[in-house]
Amino acid sequence: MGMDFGSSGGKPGRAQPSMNVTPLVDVVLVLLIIFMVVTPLLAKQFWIHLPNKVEKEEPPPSPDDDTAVVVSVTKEGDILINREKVADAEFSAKLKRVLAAKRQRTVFFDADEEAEFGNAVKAMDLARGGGADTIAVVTQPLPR
Amino acid sequence: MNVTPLVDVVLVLLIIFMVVIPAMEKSAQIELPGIFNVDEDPKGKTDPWTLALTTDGRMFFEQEELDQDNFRTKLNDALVREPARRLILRADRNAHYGKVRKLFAICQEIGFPGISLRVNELKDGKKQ
Repeated sequence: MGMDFGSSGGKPGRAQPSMNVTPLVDVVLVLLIIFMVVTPLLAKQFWIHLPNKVEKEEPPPSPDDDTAVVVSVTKEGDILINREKVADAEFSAKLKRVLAAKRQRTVFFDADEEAEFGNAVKAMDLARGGGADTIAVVTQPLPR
Repeated sequence: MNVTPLVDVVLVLLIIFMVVIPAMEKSAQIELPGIFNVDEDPKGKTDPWTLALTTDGRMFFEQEELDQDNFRTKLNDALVREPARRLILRADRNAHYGKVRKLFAICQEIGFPGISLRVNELKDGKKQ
């Protein structure tokens, strides 16, 4: 890794300018590797529950059901608790009350076919923020 | 001239690109949804299977593009081979929920107890 002052070739007595890029490349590579390692660790997860087949024997919860809490998202991105439209800002507080009233900790979730996945995830996020321990997705479209 | 460090660096670069390029090519660009209440880091759990869903509805399982039919068999094989391994879904936030639900339905039928969504964590006060 020594510096080569060009004494081997060229005119005698005059130093050839040369730059040693090895340490620079070394540092850049280490940085690259650090980022490659760190980036996947920054990605977070959000676990949702798929009700298993035994549970599926029961009919899927309907939004009109009095005991189940069903959160759904419309095509436009509005969030409904059972049949009632709730503004995003009030959602958490409202869901807390509904869960307490129905003595539930599980929220069933569905969204419109055309709804954006990002909006659906936002609603699940709000539901968890509103105290839903388990978020179960309903895999058949809900009755409208 | 001592070429050893140069060759060293070039070889490392070569290896890095050999590793990174196949990973970049096959899984298409996906914009993850951002949320606030993320799960605690799942420490000690096994590395999950990865599913991906793009905006235009293409599906990937472990970087391999699949259609509806062989998707089901692939997932089934995966579950039979390693029943304890979880499933993680990277879906684009602009994808239609109908596609995602179909995927959930397949996973449910096969018998996965749940699925993790890969998300970006948002901090308070930061809007998407």
